[in-house]
Amino acid sequence: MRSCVVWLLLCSAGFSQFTATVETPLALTGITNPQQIGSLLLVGADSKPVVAPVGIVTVVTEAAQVRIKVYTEAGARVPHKTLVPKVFAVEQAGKFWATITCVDFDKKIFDEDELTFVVGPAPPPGPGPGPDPTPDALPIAGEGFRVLIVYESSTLTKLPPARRDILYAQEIRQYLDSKVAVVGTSREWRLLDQDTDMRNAAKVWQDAMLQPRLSIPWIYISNGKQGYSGPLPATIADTLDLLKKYGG
Amino acid sequence: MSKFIINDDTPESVYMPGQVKVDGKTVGTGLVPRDYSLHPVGYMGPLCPPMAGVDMPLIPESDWSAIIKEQKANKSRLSDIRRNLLGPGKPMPSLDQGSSNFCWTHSGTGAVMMLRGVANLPYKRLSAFAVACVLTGFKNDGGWGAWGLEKMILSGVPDVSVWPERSMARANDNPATWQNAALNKVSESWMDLEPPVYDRKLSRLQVATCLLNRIPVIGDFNFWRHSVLLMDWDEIEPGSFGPRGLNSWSDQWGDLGEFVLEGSKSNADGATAPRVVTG
Repeated sequence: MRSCVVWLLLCSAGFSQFTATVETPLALTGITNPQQIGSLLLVGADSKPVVAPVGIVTVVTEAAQVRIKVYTEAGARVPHKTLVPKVFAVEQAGKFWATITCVDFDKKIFDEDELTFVVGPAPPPGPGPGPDPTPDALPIAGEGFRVLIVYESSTLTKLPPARRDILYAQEIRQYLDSKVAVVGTSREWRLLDQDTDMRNAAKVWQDAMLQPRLSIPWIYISNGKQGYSGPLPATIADTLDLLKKYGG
Repeated sequence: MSKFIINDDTPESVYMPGQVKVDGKTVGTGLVPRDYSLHPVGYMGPLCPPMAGVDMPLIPESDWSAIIKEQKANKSRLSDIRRNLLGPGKPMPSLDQGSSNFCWTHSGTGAVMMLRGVANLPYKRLSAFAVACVLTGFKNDGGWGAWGLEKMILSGVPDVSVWPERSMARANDNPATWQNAALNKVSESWMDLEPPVYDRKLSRLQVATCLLNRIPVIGDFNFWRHSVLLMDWDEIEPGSFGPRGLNSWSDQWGDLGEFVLEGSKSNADGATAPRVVTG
């Protein structure tokens, strides 16, 4: 497999507690039931193979815990996969910023630094407009009315108070409580910080959190037939109008 | 919403342990003030960065009144969410520490339950005794809010199905319990607020900013020898502000378990603010 090292990070020379490298090989995705016999790779009949560049970030450190956050130039979080401990993959093209944190209390290690890297063809220059919300896609899987609002709790003060109130307003919460699907004891809407650990969450919410977003706060709506993904509206009234389009 | 106010004129018989009885039973507190020389702000490293190191502008006092009025109009305060968490008019019940000295884990446990409520995760009643018992070696000892929260970051809080409320049975402390607890962790983000030094202005501004942003605060109050969950920043009368909190003496005390601190009693002596819990 052809690959190239695009960046070598040496944190705080002389005091470095980790090194990180980024490679951008091509990866084959979209195959099911892979099975290799000799030099032949057999795949499932429903495979839709795609070859595309992927960013592989490898962190070398004695620290037990390594965390990474990846962002676009616009500051939106980018999902990544942990391939094995301390090796992460970013499976989309673009220019990215990564914050890497290494922690080990026993070994008294704490180090954090950033790196930039490009996966695949560089995005076009300039601050062009982002994609429009996609009303016909289904950002949340499954039957029934579901809503996810993603925000960042550490920057709430930067939101105008009226927009901040949308997240907590009783009118919105009671509307959602009365309209969304119910699964067991769960009323199927969530208000989640973008850094929420979703490992133990239901798959429907894990998948929804991985949907792309270009800013924070962001709202995803699905009624099983139609969906919406876009920035949270500016007022409680506008948000209710939007919700009612899909939830009745 | 009515106000059960504790200020400099309030008789101690209303709020001091040893004098208060709820349903005929004595109630405990248990705050041991945090020693900031041994446990300075940010002592847990990246898991609890000081709020001063986080890029969150503080909300100036001149803005408080207008923001509070808007929040009251929209019923968007944490206390509004708490009061309707189990359905319209059905509140999340207060925790009940009984006569134990475990206020310092009940305040954080209440915060985790509140954050779960804000996120609309299904309601679970969590066991603050679990955290206190393992930290104290099953002794009925006091502590401070940040110590309890430290355990909630590292291990989480189990629910009462695996560690019953007010149980100090060692048999509860088993791998299945802590597997359950891991579902209710305070995750990577929380902020350790400044200790109240000099005129307390910074720590007061930080507490107010968190509460006005609907981030619950674990507040330690030396005058009360008590650690409690703070939910709102309230305007008691024009120009007079203080926190509305939720006690851990059941719903039978105060205003459905809630109270408002005013004047010199409104400044926390220690404060931490968990922001995100496991999804």
